[in-house]
Amino acid sequence: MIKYLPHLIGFLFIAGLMVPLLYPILKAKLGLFLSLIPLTILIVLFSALAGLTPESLYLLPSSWGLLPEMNFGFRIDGLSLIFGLLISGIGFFIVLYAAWYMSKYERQGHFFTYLMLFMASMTGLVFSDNLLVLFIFWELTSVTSFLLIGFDHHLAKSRQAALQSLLITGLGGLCLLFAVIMIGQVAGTYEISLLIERGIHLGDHPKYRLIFVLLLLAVLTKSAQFPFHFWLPGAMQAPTPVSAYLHSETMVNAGVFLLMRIHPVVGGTMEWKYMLMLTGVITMFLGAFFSMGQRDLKRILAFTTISALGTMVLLIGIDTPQSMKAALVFFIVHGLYKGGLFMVAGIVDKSTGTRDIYLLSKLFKPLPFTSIAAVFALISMAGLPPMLGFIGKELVYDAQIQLPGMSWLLLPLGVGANIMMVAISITIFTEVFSPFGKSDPIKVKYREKDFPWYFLGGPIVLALAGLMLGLMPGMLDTLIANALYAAKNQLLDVNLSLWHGFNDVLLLSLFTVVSGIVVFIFRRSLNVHIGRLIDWFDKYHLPTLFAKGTKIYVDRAYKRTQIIQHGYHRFYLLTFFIVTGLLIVAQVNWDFLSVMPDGGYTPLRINLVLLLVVASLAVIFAVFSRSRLSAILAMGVVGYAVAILYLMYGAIDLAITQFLAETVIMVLFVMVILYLPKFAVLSTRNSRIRDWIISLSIGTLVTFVVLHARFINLYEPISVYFIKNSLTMAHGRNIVNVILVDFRALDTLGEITVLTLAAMGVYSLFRFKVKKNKSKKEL
Amino acid sequence: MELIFAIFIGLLYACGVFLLLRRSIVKVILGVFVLSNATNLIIFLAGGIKRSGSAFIPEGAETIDPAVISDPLPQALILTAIVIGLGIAAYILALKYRYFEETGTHDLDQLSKTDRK
Amino acid sequence: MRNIILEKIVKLFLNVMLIFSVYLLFRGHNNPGGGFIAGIIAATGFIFYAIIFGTGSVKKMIGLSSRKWMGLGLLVVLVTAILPVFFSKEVLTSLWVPGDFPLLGALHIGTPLLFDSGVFLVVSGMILTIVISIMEVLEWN
Repeated sequence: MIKYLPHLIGFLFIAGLMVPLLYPILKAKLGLFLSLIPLTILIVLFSALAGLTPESLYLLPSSWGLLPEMNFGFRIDGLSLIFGLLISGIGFFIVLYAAWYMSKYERQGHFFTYLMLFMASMTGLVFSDNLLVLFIFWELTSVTSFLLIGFDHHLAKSRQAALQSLLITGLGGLCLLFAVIMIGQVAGTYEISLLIERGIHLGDHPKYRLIFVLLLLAVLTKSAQFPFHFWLPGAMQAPTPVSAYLHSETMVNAGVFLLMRIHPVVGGTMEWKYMLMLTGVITMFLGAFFSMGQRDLKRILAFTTISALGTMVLLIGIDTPQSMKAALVFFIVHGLYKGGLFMVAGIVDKSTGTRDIYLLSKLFKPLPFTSIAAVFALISMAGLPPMLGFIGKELVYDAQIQLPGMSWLLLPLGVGANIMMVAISITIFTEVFSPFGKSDPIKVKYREKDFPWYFLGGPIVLALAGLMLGLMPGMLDTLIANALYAAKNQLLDVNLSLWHGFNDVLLLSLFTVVSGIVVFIFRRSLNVHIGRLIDWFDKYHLPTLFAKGTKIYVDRAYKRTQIIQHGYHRFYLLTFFIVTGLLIVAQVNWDFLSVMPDGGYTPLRINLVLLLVVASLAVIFAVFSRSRLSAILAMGVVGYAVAILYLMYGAIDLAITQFLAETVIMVLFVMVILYLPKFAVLSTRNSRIRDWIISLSIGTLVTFVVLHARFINLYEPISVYFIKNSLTMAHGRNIVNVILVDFRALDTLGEITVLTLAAMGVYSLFRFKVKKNKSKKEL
Repeated sequence: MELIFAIFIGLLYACGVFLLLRRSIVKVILGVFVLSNATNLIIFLAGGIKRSGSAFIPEGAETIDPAVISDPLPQALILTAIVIGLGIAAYILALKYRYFEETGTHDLDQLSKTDRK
Repeated sequence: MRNIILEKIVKLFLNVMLIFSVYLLFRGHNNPGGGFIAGIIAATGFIFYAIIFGTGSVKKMIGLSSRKWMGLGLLVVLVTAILPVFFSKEVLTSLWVPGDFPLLGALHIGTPLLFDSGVFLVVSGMILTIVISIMEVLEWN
């Protein structure tokens, strides 16, 4: 069954593109219909779980690709399964959720198109077995994320946030492309399975540092790590289903996924450890810290997401089997509670019209089931039993304690971040949901019974899943062992359980909870201080710096462009002619001047020489003439002279066409000329002299080029073929005409299209004018 | 003869380029005409002017010796080029007329602002 | 003031030009001529007619607007291009019907002639469109 996975991913893409056709038929049921696809993927992935052993790996090779080295092969192992299950599972609930959430929006169809395309590219990203393909899916997620953040594109804020996220993730994508190409060049293959199979590790390669820094930039930007974290809170401008899906569950985890995926090839070095630990720990702490000072529920969740992402990067950086295991479990934990919480935030928003936690209160009564789901998720976020979050946090502490040498720095920051998580969880619960307390309950527009089941289902199911996995964590053992095998290439017994016995990790947990409660009690005064700090920080805030930087860059680019793009027509041409001339001079081999062509020159024909002399005089007259009419007539003389030339050399069709065309042009010109200004000398004497020098040298150059061209005979002329087959194959005696309408008919087809366009251009230029005249008359 | 031709084409090019570099738009258009004629001639010359029979297969014959007739391929190319030149000429004329109507000037330097913001 | 002799001459001229252009179009495959030349000649006839009688009368005579004329030409060319596909040949391959015809004798009739007719329509339509537009704007009538 799993072998149909690529088809299903393709089907997601097609479904996304089909939405414009489906929407008019299905209307509000569109979301329900589309949710069937992620559900199918989920079932298929579950079927793959059945036969899973810690070492199993399922490859779907493909010889089909855009480039020889770029095959759309798929790879199903524990790592991609964990990510794939979360993407499709939460994707299923998100699509259901969005079906109602977006039902009031006019551009619902657009939304589902983007969402489906995103889901397809994200699934493709985690399952692809080729680094180049992975890169393409990576970029597709950036683009669809851009479209989704800017979904409310009538708001300047949305547009700005979308652009910001695109610029940052785009920068990362570019770095990833370079890194991928370098890995491919160094290792000789882009296939991930081959890279792992051959045991290629780039740690000793001289270019390792460059590759690693490029990869790191890709990961930091995508996973919103410090100092690129600021695009994620901005991305909260997107509709809530998007925030819940892209910006907490899937896209931002792509960086974490990439780290684990590429770990066997580049991981485990000193650079890897220190860089990842450093950014991870800073991000983890800052994220948790800033979430304290926020009021908007979604922004709070965004900052806690940043903190969680930092934790995962930190754990991958620690790079022991324990820490990797912790990272994987933590990823599942985070996926389960954060998706639920975001959906709850959306439900609260829909029901009350606000997301400010200090305005909200006592939502337990109108939203009982949602509140229970939220409470479970909050317990998981705080890392308390019996939720899976508890196991996750215990593992994180475990990994941090066991790290020799660095735990003195990591542990306090890690515990600190967790203390704030506890405090935040309790704050959200008391401010928003708790039925106790003095404050008045907020007025609600919708109660829970007003919502359809599929709008509420997501958070409840996710909370229950977190609870179930917390009570029976053994279900995850094989899956995580397999993922570990994929990421670290070593087998490890995984035995998750809720109760680890009484040890120092448990003590730390107890300390965390108590401190969290203390922080919660003093939160008001603390928040004031943090708020002040954030205000101060805003002045030198990274988004502002980023915006300024972009503006300066654009201004600079604009000024530079003006130097080249100055708007003076003749200087453009001047540059063009001089550069072309110099290039020709540099290219041409001047030896030919001393050699005669084969068989010498053809003898002079006096009548033709006379004709050319007349034409030359005419063209010189045209250049110097002060009268428009005589200049045009002189032009006509030149044209007719050329026509006679054609005739003399046997090109009868050409001569006729030239005569006729020249006549028509003259007629047109004479028609228009009366309405045009007289010639005037506009340029200065000096510029005229300069132009003469340049044009005369161009003329001389062309003379030489024409002479030189006589010597070039690279291939057998194809006209011989035309001459031979004109009558036998094409039944025509006029070879020129046969070429036009038969041998080279495609060229003629293109040409008459151009003619039509030119005529339509003239027509529209003048029609505009006629209309204007008419409207003037009417006035 | 080729030498004379080459010099003639060179002269046409020199005049055409000089006209193109003028500020007056009428002269620029004349320059385009001259250059298109000159370029057609280059293509024609590239086909060779030694053989000057016209490119027809005589009645009764199956084919004809390529060495006798002038090269038909450049002729086909130039034939389309001439007609395209006609279309382009008409288009430029229309454009020029509209430009003069809108701006009241025929000085191309006045147009420089369109490339700047 | 009307100039009757001129008007007569122009009418005659137009007829001669049109007949001549069709003649050139049909013989173009074997003798000098062809769609491009025929198109320009036909258009020239109309131009002179338009100069004397005004664009309105030319429009009336054509029936279709000259832009549709161009479109028709393009359509003919496209049909000619695609037609071979239905005879399981590649696009733009010419099809031939050899045979004896009364009056004309043994001839090969094929799609190149159709193609050339399309070119004829486009070229003459183009020139007419341009001339009529210019004349209307400049209020030549």
